[in-house]
Amino acid sequence: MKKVQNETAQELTIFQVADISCGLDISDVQEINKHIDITKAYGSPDYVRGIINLRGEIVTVIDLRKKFGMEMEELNENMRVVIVESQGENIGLLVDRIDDIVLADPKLIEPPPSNVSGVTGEFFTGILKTDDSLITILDIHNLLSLKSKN
Amino acid sequence: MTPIENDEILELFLEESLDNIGGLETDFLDIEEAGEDIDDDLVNKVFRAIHSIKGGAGFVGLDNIKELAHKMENMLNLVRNRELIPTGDIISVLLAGTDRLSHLLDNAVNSNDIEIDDILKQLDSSLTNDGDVPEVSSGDTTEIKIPGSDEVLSLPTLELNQYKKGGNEIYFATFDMVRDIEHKGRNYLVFVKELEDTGTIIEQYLNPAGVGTLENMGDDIILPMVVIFASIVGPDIIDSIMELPQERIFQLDEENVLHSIISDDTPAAVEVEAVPEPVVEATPAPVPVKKVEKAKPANAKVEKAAPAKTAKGATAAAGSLRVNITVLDELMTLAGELVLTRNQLIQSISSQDNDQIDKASQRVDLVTSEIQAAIMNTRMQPIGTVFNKYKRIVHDMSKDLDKEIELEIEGKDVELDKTIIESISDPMTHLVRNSVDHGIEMPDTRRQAGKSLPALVKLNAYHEAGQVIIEIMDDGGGIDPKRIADKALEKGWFTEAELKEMSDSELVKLILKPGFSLAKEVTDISGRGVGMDVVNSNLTKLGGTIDIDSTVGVGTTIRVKLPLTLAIIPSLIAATGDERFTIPQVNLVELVRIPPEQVKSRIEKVDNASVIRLRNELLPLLRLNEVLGMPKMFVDPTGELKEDKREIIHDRRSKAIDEFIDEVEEMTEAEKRASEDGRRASSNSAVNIIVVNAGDINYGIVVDALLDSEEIVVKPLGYHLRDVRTYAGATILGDGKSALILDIVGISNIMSLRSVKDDAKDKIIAKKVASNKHAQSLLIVRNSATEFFAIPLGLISRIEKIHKSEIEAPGGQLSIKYRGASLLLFRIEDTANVGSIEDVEWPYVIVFQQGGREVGILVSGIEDAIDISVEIDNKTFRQRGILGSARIMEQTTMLLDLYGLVTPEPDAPASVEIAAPAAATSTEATSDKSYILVVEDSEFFRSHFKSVLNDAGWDILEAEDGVDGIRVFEENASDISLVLTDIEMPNMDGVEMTRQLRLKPELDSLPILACTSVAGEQAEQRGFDAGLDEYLIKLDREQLVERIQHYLTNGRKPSNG
Repeated sequence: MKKVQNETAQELTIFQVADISCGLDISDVQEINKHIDITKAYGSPDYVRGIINLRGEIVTVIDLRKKFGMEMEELNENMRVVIVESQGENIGLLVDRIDDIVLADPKLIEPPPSNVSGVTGEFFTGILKTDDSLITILDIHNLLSLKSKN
Repeated sequence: MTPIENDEILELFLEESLDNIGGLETDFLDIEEAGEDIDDDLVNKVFRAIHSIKGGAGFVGLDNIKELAHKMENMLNLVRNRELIPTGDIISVLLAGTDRLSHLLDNAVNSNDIEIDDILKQLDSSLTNDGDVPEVSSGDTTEIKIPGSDEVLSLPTLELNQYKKGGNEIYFATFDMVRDIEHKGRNYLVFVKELEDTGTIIEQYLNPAGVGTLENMGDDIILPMVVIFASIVGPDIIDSIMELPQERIFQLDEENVLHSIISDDTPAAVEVEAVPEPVVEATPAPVPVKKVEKAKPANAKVEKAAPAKTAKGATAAAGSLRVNITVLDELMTLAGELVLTRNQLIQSISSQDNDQIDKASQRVDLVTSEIQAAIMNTRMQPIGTVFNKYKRIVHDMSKDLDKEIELEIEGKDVELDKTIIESISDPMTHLVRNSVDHGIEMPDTRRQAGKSLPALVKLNAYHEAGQVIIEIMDDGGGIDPKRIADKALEKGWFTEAELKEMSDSELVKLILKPGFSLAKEVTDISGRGVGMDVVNSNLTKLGGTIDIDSTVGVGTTIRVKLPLTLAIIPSLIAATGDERFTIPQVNLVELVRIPPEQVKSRIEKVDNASVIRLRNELLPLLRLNEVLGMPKMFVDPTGELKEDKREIIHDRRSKAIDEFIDEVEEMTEAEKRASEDGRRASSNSAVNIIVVNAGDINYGIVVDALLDSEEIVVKPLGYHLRDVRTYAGATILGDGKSALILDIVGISNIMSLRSVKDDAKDKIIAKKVASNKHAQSLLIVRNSATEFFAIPLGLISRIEKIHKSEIEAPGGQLSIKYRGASLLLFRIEDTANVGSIEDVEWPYVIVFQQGGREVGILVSGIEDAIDISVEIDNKTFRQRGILGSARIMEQTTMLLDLYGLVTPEPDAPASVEIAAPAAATSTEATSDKSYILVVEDSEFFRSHFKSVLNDAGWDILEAEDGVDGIRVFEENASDISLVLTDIEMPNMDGVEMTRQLRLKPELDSLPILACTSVAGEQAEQRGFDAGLDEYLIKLDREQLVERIQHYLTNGRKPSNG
């Protein structure tokens, strides 16, 4: 896991959730998992897609589509589970696909609007404007907090 | 001194101190118990522990701890010197001191701000009251002889004693100002200041006698200084503080004689010095002080080794665990073995050597289980750590309550997993408190009742069948079932009629219900909101069960059964929809499969909830997919599971029963289509029910399929799922996929299940109860396609499904390989004149005990297990192997005589007269008393006994239960030569009847035999105590006849009279 040395630039993992381009500070990402074998956990909060076995550890997988208030999709080839650490345990984020890793110029990051494509702004720390797209940078803490609304 | 800032040293000190303080309570209580008869070793042990705490605390600057420890040490010193007798008061103060000390240690960093004056005063006052400290006047001096010379030094005794009482050691050091200070670049003032940091200099002077003469002036010039120094620093490191060679330092002992600090001239101590002490090397000056007791050099070694051990632990996070070194060694060996096996596996895989792969995988299997066992071993802790805690609780409580109670502890060494040990402590505390507070009576009451004083509370732990049993026993007043019934009535839980139906033990179990408290008043100790229900649910959470056995006036025993470990548990794997779930084995009661055609009759509806009738009990039924809110699935024509969207789920819930049946039919439809595609889907048509136990209630969970049983490793769930009460955790199955573990107790809470008895019992059971009085549980089996047979369920050990190819027939005797041995098989048609067994692929074997070993009867199919009350016709089909027949479920069903089937046919052609000749003679011998009284509630068995005994030539009288038995006996007393009784009977059981019959002295010589299908050793003992002569196995006809014959001929054994 690389730590961003340069105070000014931020390295972001870019992935797609429905039509939203999301960015996540690369230092927050533990690993990206391709092999997805999710066991559903019925009766759990609806944004919990299920659990997976991550080398012997049980990891909860959050469906980001559902968390953003959209409908769940059937699992497909492009989907990945992004493993992040939160409150001392690993959590998986189910995303539609991984796009890129970019070096973000903080000057280009703006504070988030009240909502992005209908998703509440509290899940984001900022918006990165690139030449051809807008990347919303995720606030992992708020996103995984049990108190946050959908 | 200010508190030391070095965390590592502070941590080391704390860890060690907590270790030291850990056993104190128990030791103090033991000291109290010993009273005047002081156990020196024990007092010394406690003294040392407190002494070490004091030393360490002084060193790291925790003055309050030091001061308190010091005061306690003083008291102990008096005890040690027999100047103070450890009375209850003294020990109470010391215990209070220990409490405060551990409080201070828990808050070590702020301990200097914590108030301790009150406790110091307590200690002081108990000292002045009881202590008899020798008075010392201020003018006295103590003469100390300086070693290696004739000089004598006088020091004021008062001052010396003060320092000694302050926990200080007094050192006498000589050194040379020139060589030891100047030449080493040191400054005398700095040296003095350094010393003042760690203690007090009592006296320092230049020793004129030591100054060299003019002859040895020059390079050898010396200026010998003498320092008398009081410090809490132990003699083992004082030299490094003073930075002087050890031989220059002497220590003052209790008799005011100076000794060298080097050693006690005992090899043990020398060895100690050789032990490398990493802490000392790393940080030369501030080390937690360990005092080597001069008096006990042998202990020095142990004490000294400690820091090295804990030094490793200090780096670890909060929870640390002591592990026996041999266990670690074993693990190391196993790790090595694992590496070798891996290499072997890799090699054989790359060379594609299947044989080698097989071998290697076997080894992996072996090594894994051994590692598992070894690691579990490291987590195992003796239960004594929990038990010892209660000494204090019982001690304090009995004081508070003015009761006299003795606590007896057994089975301290029984080991349990660390997590279980930690979690049972609270529920156990509650149970012990209950015993002391509610159970044990006041001394006056006990005296009046003629009971012994002190009262007894006993804790016991032992292993039984892979579980640990913990017993909390008291010889107090017991729990009065009447009071419980009153309370339950008052709470409106049950009607009077229902309560009347309940047995005493059922009533007593009601105390486990939430909201139940018998305490007339809430005392300081019990009834503070933690009820028995919490204890019960906490123990259930641990996979434990609780059992109460109480007799009014005699006492109460609470038995807690716990699994050995929680980390790896055997469990059942079941599937519903497309997911697999695991259910811990401890929660499992039984598995029930209801064939499609019986669903309608077996599953009933009470108040919109489904119930299943199972051997006279109504069990609430839950469907797993509904509990979890899973989408409904069905098998579509292509054989795939598809979501059923025809109905909305919440609609289904309201119509539970109809739905159930509809659904089964739906499924059968779907399945029919599926089977047309050549798929085998028979399991879907039946209803699979897992009967589980959730503490005080059993219920059934309906699942789609039962898969397997596996040992699973319990893993915690992430925080998003932690509040989901349906799951207890997750695990990883053999195929690497994760699966959830169902929380059986949680599910019953969510669904707010109540025992069906509560509201619906009368509705459904009532109509059955009347007719079921003599109901018999029968297993209905098929042999030839049209012939049905019934076997009493109680006689069957197991039922095995086998493949027909497994049947062997060496020498004409059928058998199968079974659990490493041969199991003899018998066919019904071999003995009885019935149709031959159907040729089926998978026949069943009914396994039962006969003459101490297992045998099997081969049948082609299992039809049902039913509870039924039947008229038995013991004439029509009567023959060897067949007891009779009955109409069961519209079928003529023959009742099998299992023992008749498996015992070789006697030579005599008339098989039923097996024992007749012998019996005939006996009848003659006892012609004046020719009846055998058979007391048996089951009509089935009565007729069985009748036929067997009649065949053997005896006449019988029948009675339906104990009360009836006594009546019949009294009417025909002179004609009855022997009584044969069942044990479990309504109104009065066999044991009670025996007891009553035995009260009559004239019946002393009457043989009373019990006939039962199930008996445990304990139950049997109860029977023998009541005066039973022997236990016989029901339906073992030969044994029955033989034993009756024996008793009729020889009479009772005199020892049983």
